[in-house]
Amino acid sequence: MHISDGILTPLWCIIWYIIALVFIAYGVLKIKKRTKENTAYMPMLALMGAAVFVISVWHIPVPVTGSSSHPVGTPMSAIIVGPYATVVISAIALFFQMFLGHGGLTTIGANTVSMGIVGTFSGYIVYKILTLMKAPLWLSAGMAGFVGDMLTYATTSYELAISLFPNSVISHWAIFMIGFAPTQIPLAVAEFVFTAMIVRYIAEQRPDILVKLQRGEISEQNAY
Amino acid sequence: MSRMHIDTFTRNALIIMFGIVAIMSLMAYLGFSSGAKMNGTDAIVEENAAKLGKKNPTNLVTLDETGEYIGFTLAGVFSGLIIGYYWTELFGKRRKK
Repeated sequence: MHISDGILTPLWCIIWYIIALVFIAYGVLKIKKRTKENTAYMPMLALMGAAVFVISVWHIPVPVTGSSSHPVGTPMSAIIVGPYATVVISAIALFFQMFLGHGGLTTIGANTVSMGIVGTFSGYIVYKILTLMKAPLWLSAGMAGFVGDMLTYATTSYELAISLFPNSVISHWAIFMIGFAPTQIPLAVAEFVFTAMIVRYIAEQRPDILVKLQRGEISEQNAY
Repeated sequence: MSRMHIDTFTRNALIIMFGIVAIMSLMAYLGFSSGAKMNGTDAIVEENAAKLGKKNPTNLVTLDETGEYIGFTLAGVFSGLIIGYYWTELFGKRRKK
Protein backbone atom coordinates (compact mmCIF):
# COMPACT_ATOMS: atom_id res chain seq x y z
CA MET A 1 0.00 0.00 0.00
CA HIS A 2 3.03 2.31 0.42
CA ILE A 3 3.70 3.29 -3.18
CA SER A 4 7.12 4.90 -3.54
CA ASP A 5 8.04 8.01 -5.50
CA GLY A 6 8.89 7.65 -9.18
CA ILE A 7 6.29 5.01 -10.05
CA LEU A 8 3.04 6.88 -10.62
CA THR A 9 2.83 9.41 -13.42
CA PRO A 10 2.67 13.10 -12.38
CA LEU A 11 -0.93 13.36 -13.64
CA TRP A 12 -2.11 10.53 -11.40
CA CYS A 13 -0.11 11.85 -8.44
CA ILE A 14 -2.02 15.13 -8.78
CA ILE A 15 -5.41 13.46 -9.24
CA TRP A 16 -4.96 11.31 -6.10
CA TYR A 17 -3.73 14.36 -4.18
CA ILE A 18 -6.85 16.35 -5.12
CA ILE A 19 -9.20 13.53 -4.09
CA ALA A 20 -7.32 13.08 -0.80
CA LEU A 21 -7.28 16.81 -0.04
CA VAL A 22 -11.07 17.10 -0.41
CA PHE A 23 -11.58 14.35 2.18
CA ILE A 24 -8.85 15.71 4.45
CA ALA A 25 -10.39 19.21 4.44
CA TYR A 26 -13.80 17.82 5.37
CA GLY A 27 -12.16 15.57 7.98
CA VAL A 28 -10.49 18.55 9.65
CA LEU A 29 -13.87 20.31 9.88
CA LYS A 30 -15.43 17.17 11.37
CA ILE A 31 -12.63 16.90 13.95
CA LYS A 32 -13.10 20.54 15.00
CA LYS A 33 -16.84 20.03 15.39
CA ARG A 34 -16.59 16.78 17.33
CA THR A 35 -13.85 18.07 19.62
CA LYS A 36 -16.23 20.79 20.78
CA GLU A 37 -19.05 18.26 21.32
CA ASN A 38 -17.05 15.63 23.20
CA THR A 39 -13.98 16.14 25.38
CA ALA A 40 -12.97 12.46 25.08
CA TYR A 41 -12.67 12.82 21.33
CA MET A 42 -9.19 14.38 21.18
CA PRO A 43 -7.44 11.76 23.38
CA MET A 44 -9.17 9.03 21.37
CA LEU A 45 -8.00 10.68 18.16
CA ALA A 46 -4.41 10.79 19.45
CA LEU A 47 -4.63 7.13 20.48
CA MET A 48 -6.03 6.08 17.11
CA GLY A 49 -3.43 8.19 15.27
CA ALA A 50 -0.57 6.45 17.04
CA ALA A 51 -2.26 3.06 16.58
CA VAL A 52 -2.83 3.53 12.84
CA PHE A 53 0.77 4.71 12.44
CA VAL A 54 2.16 1.59 14.12
CA ILE A 55 -0.30 -0.91 12.65
CA SER A 56 0.21 0.30 9.08
CA VAL A 57 3.98 -0.25 9.15
CA TRP A 58 3.91 -3.36 11.29
CA HIS A 59 5.26 -6.04 8.97
CA ILE A 60 3.95 -9.43 9.92
CA PRO A 61 5.74 -12.44 8.43
CA VAL A 62 3.58 -14.95 6.57
CA PRO A 63 5.75 -18.11 6.42
CA VAL A 64 3.52 -19.90 3.86
CA THR A 65 4.18 -17.26 1.20
CA GLY A 66 7.74 -16.43 2.26
CA SER A 67 6.98 -12.72 2.50
CA SER A 68 5.56 -10.22 4.94
CA SER A 69 3.01 -7.45 4.91
CA HIS A 70 1.12 -5.19 7.25
CA PRO A 71 -2.50 -4.56 8.23
CA VAL A 72 -3.98 -1.07 7.81
CA GLY A 73 -5.83 -0.27 11.05
CA THR A 74 -8.08 2.31 9.41
CA PRO A 75 -11.35 0.32 9.61
CA MET A 76 -10.90 0.08 13.39
CA SER A 77 -10.19 3.79 13.58
CA ALA A 78 -13.23 4.58 11.39
CA ILE A 79 -15.53 2.68 13.75
CA ILE A 80 -14.13 4.45 16.81
CA VAL A 81 -13.47 8.04 15.72
CA GLY A 82 -15.39 8.18 12.44
CA PRO A 83 -14.32 7.81 8.80
CA TYR A 84 -13.51 11.43 7.93
CA ALA A 85 -11.26 11.87 10.97
CA THR A 86 -9.56 8.62 9.99
CA VAL A 87 -8.69 10.06 6.58
CA VAL A 88 -6.84 12.89 8.35
CA ILE A 89 -5.13 10.41 10.69
CA SER A 90 -4.05 8.29 7.71
CA ALA A 91 -2.57 11.24 5.83
CA ILE A 92 -0.56 12.28 8.90
CA ALA A 93 0.59 8.69 9.51
CA LEU A 94 1.64 8.31 5.86
CA PHE A 95 3.54 11.59 6.01
CA PHE A 96 5.61 10.42 8.98
CA GLN A 97 6.05 6.94 7.53
CA MET A 98 7.71 8.56 4.53
CA PHE A 99 10.61 9.52 6.79
CA LEU A 100 11.05 5.84 7.61
CA GLY A 101 11.41 4.94 3.95
CA HIS A 102 7.79 3.80 3.58
CA GLY A 103 5.92 5.46 0.73
CA GLY A 104 6.83 8.72 -0.94
CA LEU A 105 6.09 12.41 -0.91
CA THR A 106 4.48 12.50 -4.36
CA THR A 107 2.39 9.43 -3.53
CA ILE A 108 0.92 10.54 -0.19
CA GLY A 109 -2.29 11.38 -2.08
CA ALA A 110 -2.49 7.94 -3.71
CA ASN A 111 -1.61 6.16 -0.47
CA THR A 112 -4.17 8.24 1.43
CA VAL A 113 -6.84 7.32 -1.11
CA SER A 114 -6.11 3.59 -0.77
CA MET A 115 -5.58 3.30 2.98
CA GLY A 116 -7.30 6.40 4.29
CA ILE A 117 -10.34 6.70 2.05
CA VAL A 118 -11.15 3.32 0.47
CA GLY A 119 -9.91 1.22 3.41
CA THR A 120 -11.71 3.46 5.87
CA PHE A 121 -15.03 3.95 4.13
CA SER A 122 -15.38 0.38 2.86
CA GLY A 123 -14.80 -0.93 6.38
CA TYR A 124 -17.13 1.63 7.89
CA ILE A 125 -19.92 0.89 5.41
CA VAL A 126 -19.63 -2.85 6.07
CA TYR A 127 -19.76 -2.16 9.80
CA LYS A 128 -22.84 0.04 9.43
CA ILE A 129 -24.68 -2.46 7.22
CA LEU A 130 -23.97 -5.38 9.56
CA THR A 131 -24.91 -3.30 12.61
CA LEU A 132 -28.21 -2.36 10.96
CA MET A 133 -28.76 -6.07 10.25
CA LYS A 134 -28.38 -6.66 14.03
CA ALA A 135 -25.18 -8.65 13.65
CA PRO A 136 -23.09 -8.96 16.84
CA LEU A 137 -20.68 -6.09 17.35
CA TRP A 138 -17.58 -8.31 17.08
CA LEU A 139 -18.72 -9.66 13.71
CA SER A 140 -19.57 -6.22 12.31
CA ALA A 141 -16.23 -4.79 13.45
CA GLY A 142 -14.27 -7.84 12.31
CA MET A 143 -15.79 -7.85 8.84
CA ALA A 144 -15.06 -4.13 8.60
CA GLY A 145 -11.40 -4.90 9.30
CA PHE A 146 -11.28 -7.72 6.76
CA VAL A 147 -13.00 -5.82 3.93
CA GLY A 148 -11.13 -2.56 4.63
CA ASP A 149 -7.79 -4.37 4.51
CA MET A 150 -8.52 -6.21 1.26
CA LEU A 151 -9.96 -3.18 -0.52
CA THR A 152 -6.99 -1.04 0.49
CA TYR A 153 -4.73 -3.36 -1.46
CA ALA A 154 -7.23 -3.66 -4.32
CA THR A 155 -7.07 0.14 -4.61
CA THR A 156 -3.27 0.17 -4.53
CA SER A 157 -3.30 -2.38 -7.35
CA TYR A 158 -5.72 -0.18 -9.29
CA GLU A 159 -3.54 2.91 -8.73
CA LEU A 160 -0.50 1.07 -10.06
CA ALA A 161 -2.43 -0.37 -13.02
CA ILE A 162 -4.12 2.84 -14.16
CA SER A 163 -0.93 4.86 -13.92
CA LEU A 164 1.49 2.37 -15.46
CA PHE A 165 -0.76 0.55 -17.89
CA PRO A 166 -3.60 2.86 -18.97
CA ASN A 167 -4.34 0.67 -22.00
CA SER A 168 -4.76 -2.57 -20.07
CA VAL A 169 -5.95 -1.51 -16.64
CA ILE A 170 -8.18 -4.47 -15.83
CA SER A 171 -5.68 -7.20 -16.65
CA HIS A 172 -2.83 -5.47 -14.78
CA TRP A 173 -5.13 -4.66 -11.88
CA ALA A 174 -5.84 -8.39 -11.61
CA ILE A 175 -2.12 -9.24 -11.86
CA PHE A 176 -1.17 -6.87 -9.04
CA MET A 177 -4.04 -8.05 -6.88
CA ILE A 178 -2.91 -11.64 -7.37
CA GLY A 179 0.55 -10.47 -6.25
CA PHE A 180 -0.83 -9.05 -3.01
CA ALA A 181 -3.50 -11.66 -2.27
CA PRO A 182 -1.54 -14.67 -0.86
CA THR A 183 0.11 -12.57 1.85
CA GLN A 184 -2.71 -10.13 2.38
CA ILE A 185 -5.54 -12.62 2.94
CA PRO A 186 -4.01 -14.07 6.16
CA LEU A 187 -3.35 -10.51 7.32
CA ALA A 188 -6.92 -9.49 6.58
CA VAL A 189 -7.98 -12.39 8.82
CA ALA A 190 -5.64 -11.03 11.51
CA GLU A 191 -7.18 -7.59 10.97
CA PHE A 192 -10.64 -9.18 11.43
CA VAL A 193 -9.55 -10.61 14.79
CA PHE A 194 -7.91 -7.52 16.29
CA THR A 195 -10.56 -5.09 15.01
CA ALA A 196 -13.26 -7.29 16.52
CA MET A 197 -11.37 -7.62 19.81
CA ILE A 198 -10.57 -3.94 20.23
CA VAL A 199 -14.02 -2.62 19.30
CA ARG A 200 -15.65 -5.21 21.56
CA TYR A 201 -13.27 -4.32 24.39
CA ILE A 202 -14.09 -0.63 24.08
CA ALA A 203 -17.83 -1.36 23.92
CA GLU A 204 -17.50 -3.47 27.05
CA GLN A 205 -15.15 -1.18 28.97
CA ARG A 206 -16.35 2.26 27.99
CA PRO A 207 -19.61 1.94 26.03
CA ASP A 208 -20.27 5.59 26.81
CA ILE A 209 -17.30 6.65 24.67
CA LEU A 210 -18.27 4.46 21.74
CA VAL A 211 -21.90 5.49 21.89
CA LYS A 212 -20.98 9.16 22.15
CA LEU A 213 -18.48 8.91 19.35
CA GLN A 214 -20.91 7.07 17.15
CA ARG A 215 -23.81 9.29 18.23
CA GLY A 216 -25.77 6.49 19.87
CA GLU A 217 -25.77 4.17 16.91
CA ILE A 218 -24.89 1.06 18.92
CA SER A 219 -27.85 -0.34 20.77
CA GLU A 220 -27.63 -2.30 24.00
CA GLN A 221 -29.04 -5.32 22.17
CA ASN A 222 -26.16 -5.88 19.75
CA ALA A 223 -23.38 -4.19 21.69
CA TYR A 224 -21.72 -7.46 22.64
CA MET B 1 12.47 -9.48 50.44
CA SER B 2 9.73 -7.23 49.11
CA ARG B 3 7.62 -8.46 46.22
CA MET B 4 7.60 -6.29 43.10
CA HIS B 5 4.16 -4.92 42.40
CA ILE B 6 2.99 -4.77 38.80
CA ASP B 7 -0.35 -3.12 38.09
CA THR B 8 -2.94 -4.85 35.93
CA PHE B 9 -2.41 -2.65 32.89
CA THR B 10 1.38 -3.20 32.85
CA ARG B 11 0.94 -6.94 33.39
CA ASN B 12 -1.58 -7.26 30.55
CA ALA B 13 0.54 -5.06 28.26
CA LEU B 14 3.63 -7.20 28.95
CA ILE B 15 1.69 -10.44 28.34
CA ILE B 16 0.35 -9.09 25.03
CA MET B 17 3.80 -7.79 24.01
CA PHE B 18 5.58 -11.08 24.71
CA GLY B 19 2.76 -13.02 23.06
CA ILE B 20 2.97 -10.96 19.87
CA VAL B 21 6.78 -11.10 19.78
CA ALA B 22 6.72 -14.88 20.30
CA ILE B 23 4.17 -15.45 17.50
CA MET B 24 5.99 -13.15 15.08
CA SER B 25 9.38 -14.66 15.90
CA LEU B 26 8.03 -18.14 15.29
CA MET B 27 6.46 -17.12 11.97
CA ALA B 28 9.64 -15.34 10.84
CA TYR B 29 11.75 -18.34 11.89
CA LEU B 30 9.51 -20.74 9.94
CA GLY B 31 9.76 -18.49 6.89
CA PHE B 32 13.53 -18.01 7.06
CA SER B 33 14.18 -21.69 7.76
CA SER B 34 12.39 -22.58 4.52
CA GLY B 35 14.78 -20.29 2.64
CA ALA B 36 12.41 -17.38 1.98
CA LYS B 37 13.64 -13.79 2.21
CA MET B 38 10.39 -12.60 3.86
CA ASN B 39 10.43 -9.31 1.93
CA GLY B 40 7.42 -7.03 2.16
CA THR B 41 4.73 -7.63 -0.48
CA ASP B 42 4.47 -3.86 -1.04
CA ALA B 43 8.06 -3.81 -2.25
CA ILE B 44 7.75 -7.06 -4.24
CA VAL B 45 4.63 -5.97 -6.16
CA GLU B 46 5.96 -2.43 -6.58
CA GLU B 47 9.28 -3.62 -7.96
CA ASN B 48 7.58 -5.92 -10.44
CA ALA B 49 5.11 -3.21 -11.46
CA ALA B 50 7.95 -0.73 -11.93
CA LYS B 51 9.90 -3.25 -13.98
CA LEU B 52 6.90 -3.93 -16.23
CA GLY B 53 6.12 -0.23 -16.54
CA LYS B 54 9.79 0.70 -17.03
CA LYS B 55 9.82 3.01 -14.02
CA ASN B 56 12.36 3.46 -11.28
CA PRO B 57 10.93 3.50 -7.74
CA THR B 58 12.76 5.91 -5.44
CA ASN B 59 12.29 7.25 -1.96
CA LEU B 60 13.09 10.84 -1.07
CA VAL B 61 14.18 9.54 2.30
CA THR B 62 16.28 6.39 2.21
CA LEU B 63 17.51 4.66 5.31
CA ASP B 64 20.16 2.00 5.58
CA GLU B 65 19.53 -1.08 7.71
CA THR B 66 20.77 0.57 10.93
CA GLY B 67 18.77 3.72 10.17
CA GLU B 68 15.63 1.62 9.74
CA TYR B 69 16.18 -0.13 13.06
CA ILE B 70 16.73 3.18 14.86
CA GLY B 71 13.86 4.91 13.04
CA PHE B 72 11.34 2.17 13.68
CA THR B 73 12.46 1.78 17.29
CA LEU B 74 12.01 5.49 17.99
CA ALA B 75 8.69 5.58 16.14
CA GLY B 76 7.54 2.51 18.09
CA VAL B 77 8.62 3.98 21.43
CA PHE B 78 6.85 7.31 20.87
CA SER B 79 3.72 5.69 19.45
CA GLY B 80 3.70 3.21 22.34
CA LEU B 81 3.98 6.01 24.88
CA ILE B 82 1.07 7.88 23.27
CA ILE B 83 -1.07 4.72 23.03
CA GLY B 84 -0.25 3.66 26.60
CA TYR B 85 -0.88 7.11 28.05
CA TYR B 86 -4.23 7.66 26.39
CA TRP B 87 -5.29 4.03 26.79
CA THR B 88 -4.92 4.24 30.56
CA GLU B 89 -6.58 7.65 30.57
CA LEU B 90 -9.58 6.42 28.59
CA PHE B 91 -9.88 2.82 29.74
CA GLY B 92 -7.90 2.76 32.97
CA LYS B 93 -10.88 2.35 35.22
CA ARG B 94 -13.77 0.11 34.45
CA ARG B 95 -16.96 2.14 34.28
CA LYS B 96 -20.31 0.88 35.43
CA LYS B 97 -22.78 0.33 32.60
